[in-house]
Amino acid sequence: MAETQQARLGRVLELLGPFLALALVVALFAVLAPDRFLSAYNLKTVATQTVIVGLGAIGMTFVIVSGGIDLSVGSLIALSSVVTAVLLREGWSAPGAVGAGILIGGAMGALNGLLITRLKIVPFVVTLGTMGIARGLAKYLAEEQKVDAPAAGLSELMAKSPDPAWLVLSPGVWLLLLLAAAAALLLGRTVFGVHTFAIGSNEATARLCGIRVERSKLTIYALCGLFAGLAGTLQFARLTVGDPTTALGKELDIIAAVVIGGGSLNGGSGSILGSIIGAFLMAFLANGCTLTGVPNYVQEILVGGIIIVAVAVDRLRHRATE
Amino acid sequence: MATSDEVLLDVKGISLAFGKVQAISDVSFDICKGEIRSIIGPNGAGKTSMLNCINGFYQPQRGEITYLGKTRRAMRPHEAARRGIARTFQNVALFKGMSTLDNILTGRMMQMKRGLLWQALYWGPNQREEIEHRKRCEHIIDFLEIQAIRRTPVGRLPYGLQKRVELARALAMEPTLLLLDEPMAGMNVEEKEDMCRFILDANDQLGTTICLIEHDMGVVMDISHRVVVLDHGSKLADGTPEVVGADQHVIDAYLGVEG
Repeated sequence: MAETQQARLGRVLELLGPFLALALVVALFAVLAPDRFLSAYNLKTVATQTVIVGLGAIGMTFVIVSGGIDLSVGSLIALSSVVTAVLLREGWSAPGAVGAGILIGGAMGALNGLLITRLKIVPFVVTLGTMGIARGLAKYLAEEQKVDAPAAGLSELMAKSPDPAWLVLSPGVWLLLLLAAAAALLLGRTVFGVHTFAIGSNEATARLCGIRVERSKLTIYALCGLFAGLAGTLQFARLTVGDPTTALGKELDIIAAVVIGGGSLNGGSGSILGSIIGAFLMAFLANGCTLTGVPNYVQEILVGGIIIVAVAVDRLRHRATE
Repeated sequence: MATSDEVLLDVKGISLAFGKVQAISDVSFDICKGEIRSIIGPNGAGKTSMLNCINGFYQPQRGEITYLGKTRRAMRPHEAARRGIARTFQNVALFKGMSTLDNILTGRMMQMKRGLLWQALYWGPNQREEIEHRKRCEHIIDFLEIQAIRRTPVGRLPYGLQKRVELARALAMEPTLLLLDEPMAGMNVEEKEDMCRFILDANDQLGTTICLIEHDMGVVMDISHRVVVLDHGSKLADGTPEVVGADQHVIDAYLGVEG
């Protein structure tokens, strides 16, 4: 049948789209700054820069596939980095402080989920609120200044040249790839993943199929919070200082990564692989602009344009299926 | 399928109001195991609201519902689904971006039992379970004659076929009680005939008890074992199609309108 062939072509394009965009960006800068852009050192730098946005994008993929949005992740990253720093300063061990940083993210995520499901407020408004609350909490805990703390070996996690040299990429990058693989299995292979797609695709029908929508949503937002918490502890590892003003606006980069990767803000579509590609695309773009001396503001305009193009492509795709 | 006298679902004195609007007032009826039970009535009679009470979308203010021996005021949707009540909607309730097969599989998801780890690993017991689920889905696909559109995203299907996929999704839950809200609305005669056949087959071959809302009187009188008539939220008549069709109140309130 011609129609199914067309459908198959559409699906292939959907999967290839983010790859093509990434290849385009890499090729562009490879031509503009061949020696520096493609050097091993620079590629390692880009990979390390991707970790924070990439981790956030994994959690955000679940949220966006379920038809929601989480604007609080940038603030959660800051809160988690401050919590980690404060606890290290107080003499906690590195695993303890990192664990607490991750958990505070998860707890705030669960709070998002509770407010969305119990008070039945739209995710945009709830997470806009918790975005402010988490940022304020971070500033309170940090007493409105940067928190100096012993790195306790954590900076190794985000070292561009890792200590056992055979790792090639920093441990943070490997962690990102490992968790992305696990999340892809969770989203693509489990009942929880199918429920996430079902809720984003049609919430009423999901209820009819016996899916416990509230419970699933709570899990999804808590999961997103956990990933933001982990990103926050790695942000601390990178800066070795707890900064309550860090990751300002990072939620938009993270959402952009998911959307570039094929996630639809209408819910029901998106993939972990796509989101990770999206995160790499954002990092390559930022890095390439810096290397070629393109001013920061041009970079911001470019990212804005790319988001609009990605969403426009998404709309066209949807028009084709309806 | 022969109907028995065993009551599957018993609705007693249900009242439902939205603010000051009384949608249902003190309605009682029962559904016996194996029957096709129709609810008819003019627009705004409270038919859909009644289905919504039965599967827990709405919580009635008064009355009680006994299903499979358990009595309660209000069901919860996931609980209703778990205990074998499936439902289709007046406007199509499907996952538009997913293929026909995936929609039907999602209808079965609830019955998958293996834990997250097994599911992620896919091998072993989980694989056997999934193969079993897919077999059942293929059976339903054959049953409803939708093999040709298995892989098509349902958003692209014409309306009549979407309704059929919706029925497939509901049947995939292997329901004890199937609630159908205007399954033939907007269909042409041929599509209606097909849908009638599927409903009768589901009742006959799969043994599914069916509760149906439908506006086409010919269809209702043809396929129902018993009919309950609602008007302005109250019960007007209840009985076999012959009894209801001869009831003067019903003719005045409803049937007469159609001439």
